[in-house]
Amino acid sequence: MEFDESYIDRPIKVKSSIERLPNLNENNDTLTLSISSSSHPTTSINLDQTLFQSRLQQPSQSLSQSNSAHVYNDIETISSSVPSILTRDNNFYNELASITTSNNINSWKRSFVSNEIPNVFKPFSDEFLTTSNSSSNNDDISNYDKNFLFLTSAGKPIYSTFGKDEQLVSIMGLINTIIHFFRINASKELKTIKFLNSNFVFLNRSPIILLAYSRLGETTTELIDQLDFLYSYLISSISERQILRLFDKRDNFDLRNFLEVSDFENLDQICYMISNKFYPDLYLGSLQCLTLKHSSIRKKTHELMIKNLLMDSDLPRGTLLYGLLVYPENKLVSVLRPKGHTLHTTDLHLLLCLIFNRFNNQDNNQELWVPICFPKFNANGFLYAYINFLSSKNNKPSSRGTSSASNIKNSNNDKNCPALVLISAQKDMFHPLKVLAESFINELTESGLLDKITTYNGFKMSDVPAPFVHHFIYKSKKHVQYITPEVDHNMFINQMPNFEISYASYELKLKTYYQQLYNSIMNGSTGGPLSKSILNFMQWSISPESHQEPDISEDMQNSFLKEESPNIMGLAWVTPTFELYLICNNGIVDKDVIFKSAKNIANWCRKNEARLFVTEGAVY
Amino acid sequence: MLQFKLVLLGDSSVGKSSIVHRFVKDSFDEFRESTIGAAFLSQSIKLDEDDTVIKFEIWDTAGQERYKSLAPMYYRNANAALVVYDITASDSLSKAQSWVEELKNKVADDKLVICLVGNKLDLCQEDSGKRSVEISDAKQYADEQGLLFFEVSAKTGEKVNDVFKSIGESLYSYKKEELLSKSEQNGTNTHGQVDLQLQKPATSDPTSCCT
Ligand SMILES: Nc1nc2c(ncn2[C@@H]2O[C@H](COP(=O)(O)OP(=O)(O)OP(=O)(O)O)[C@@H](O)[C@H]2O)c(=O)[nH]1
Ligand SMILES: [Mg+2]
Repeated sequence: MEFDESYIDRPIKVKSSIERLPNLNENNDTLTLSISSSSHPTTSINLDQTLFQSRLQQPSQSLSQSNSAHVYNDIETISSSVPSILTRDNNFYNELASITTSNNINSWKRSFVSNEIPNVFKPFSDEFLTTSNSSSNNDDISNYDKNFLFLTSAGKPIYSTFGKDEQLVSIMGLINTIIHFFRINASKELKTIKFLNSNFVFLNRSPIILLAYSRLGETTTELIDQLDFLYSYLISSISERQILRLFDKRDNFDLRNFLEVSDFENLDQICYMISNKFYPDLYLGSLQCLTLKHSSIRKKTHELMIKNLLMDSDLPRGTLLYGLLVYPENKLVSVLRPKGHTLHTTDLHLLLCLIFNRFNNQDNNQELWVPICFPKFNANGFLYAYINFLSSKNNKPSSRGTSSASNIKNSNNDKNCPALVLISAQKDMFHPLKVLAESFINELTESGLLDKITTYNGFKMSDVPAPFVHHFIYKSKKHVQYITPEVDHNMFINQMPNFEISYASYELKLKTYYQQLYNSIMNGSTGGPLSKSILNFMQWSISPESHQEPDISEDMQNSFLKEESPNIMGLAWVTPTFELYLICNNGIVDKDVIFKSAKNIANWCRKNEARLFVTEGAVY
Repeated sequence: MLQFKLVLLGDSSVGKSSIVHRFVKDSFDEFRESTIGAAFLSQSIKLDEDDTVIKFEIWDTAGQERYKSLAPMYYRNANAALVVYDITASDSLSKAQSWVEELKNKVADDKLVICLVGNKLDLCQEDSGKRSVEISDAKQYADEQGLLFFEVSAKTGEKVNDVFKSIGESLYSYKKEELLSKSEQNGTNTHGQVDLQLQKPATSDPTSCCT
């Protein structure tokens, strides 16, 4: 496959990018992909709306990695490449099929894998790198680049992630007035207000109004998804029926009196996670699956689930609705489910958040019995979850990098304990479920499966024959699951005293790359992807003219110490069966090379499907 | 070995989970999070008397108002209840008293052992001004109601084991009475066999809860 040089986009300023688009049609033949002229890219990054423009004038706060300690205050424009939205024709798949596993393995093994990608974004402020509540020393609401606020339809404050109470009351009053103004004068629901770099997004779930405010370049769709998730949390805790009942009696009910401390803590945790962590689960609408070493491990686990949780049980059918084995960092290991039924991903996201954010420092000699409302399953009723944290007693804590590096991931808990969750609709089923759970856990432990699950640490980028790719997310649409390589914690070791910060800022950087990549293929107004099949390259780089501004000769001596200037290419590839998002190593801009790697990844994922995904689960 | 079911009740943040964790793991967590739903744990102790081993199956319930309606599920089959209040918060005692009342009304078993526990003793030892429930008041109430009574600190561990030991002894003495009257009726049974038969269905028995 040959590429026409001219196809490769050069960093250019955004405005011109749109003008250049028509040319693409002429050049596409070499790719044997046809560009759908109908799907014109609304995907170029509009710098006015993104975070980097004005903010980049400030020097970076030395939060970037030491080896990328670049001061980006000379950047005027971050150019995005011409986003090319391509639809697939048949050749595309033929091509894919023709990529066999005969890749020269040595070539990718030898290929240089850069450990670090530069940060082209605004230097992350401390507020994002530390846990949510620690920055209370300055409570002025205007200091935060992002905030979530809930109020009742009558204007009573319910919750805000940041901000002082007194200030909130007046702000919420103002918000309420604005919303009502629109309702009365335009009989329209106010959805979003954009103002300079700020985006205010409203979600009306009467009697509750949710508001997100972001200066971080997030799209309206993204923020609505986040608000919807936060609202789902409220339902999971108190159920929709209860909310309606509370407000039925009194419009001006103060929901704060009904919510418990744990609700506010959980909301803080979720806000922190969706704002600061690498958590694509939400916008991908899927779950991350734990990669196992062999597919047989998952198969046998499912067999044990069927045997111990169903066959050997004399409980009436349907007492146990779902069984899940889940893993820290919100990963799915195996699923027991009734034929024809799956739990909605939102419900699972909530459950996993609860388990791994809320209970992650629980010790494993207790079992929990937790009522939880699954909004998509039944927003009005509660299910009961039996939760047991499995300890592999003869298991050493897994060796991810050095022990100190692994602490980043499991700061509360240096063991990678999966949790068994059994879900029932009956509130007094704890003891019968406990009996089933114990027999399952016993066999899981004795058969050595538990050890195999806990000792394998997922796959690394270097396990995948994809040269020059720094990181990727592969989502299998059929399974509604995604996988992503484990981050090599060793690369933070040399930032020793600060690696916690380093890791957090790496995570945030990765998150931002992916978010922009993802948004580049999303239809801003409908929220869905622009097309069923999309191939879109995206480039982040410093435009040449602005890069030359600083007096280079002065810096000449040091320049070799500096990192190469950021020039990052990403690829979003959507097909009817999968979605692949990848971030290349810095400086890799050859689309031919990148697409080849992308195809290798897709092939690899398909070939390893059974160990990467829960393909069927234990179905009864 | 004798097995008994014990439930902890009391207002949110009085220290129920902290007491259980001091008892089960001999540890204390300054930042323990409020319990959601309920947690099930177990721990065994050995009584001085006859070297009897007693295994407690413990329900640590959530004190939050929202979960109140679930409480009967946990105390219904209990042999013992530990009703906890915070000696630095007087309203937590009235909450404890209402739990005692509810237990007396709703639990049919007149052999239910109830222990009133005032927690966070360490705070008052540091600064006696922090105390807002007098020990004499609580003790008097406990005596009137026929409850065991302790002031403890989950933080330092002071008296925590005594609580469980004394509950264990009460339960064991009830059990012995029962055994005696039974063996008088049946004549020949040896102790060991009777022990097993007389036990309430263990919680691990799948039939105990679904009927
Ligand atoms: N100083 C002191 N603090 C204590 C003691 N026991 C508990 N605490 C603290 O009190 C708070 C609440 O303790 P928990 O054990 O979570 O209270 P709880 O009764 O289980 O609360 P819920 O689960 O909400 O019902 C925690 O921050 C504990 O650290 C104690 O003996 N002394
Ligand atoms: Mg508790």
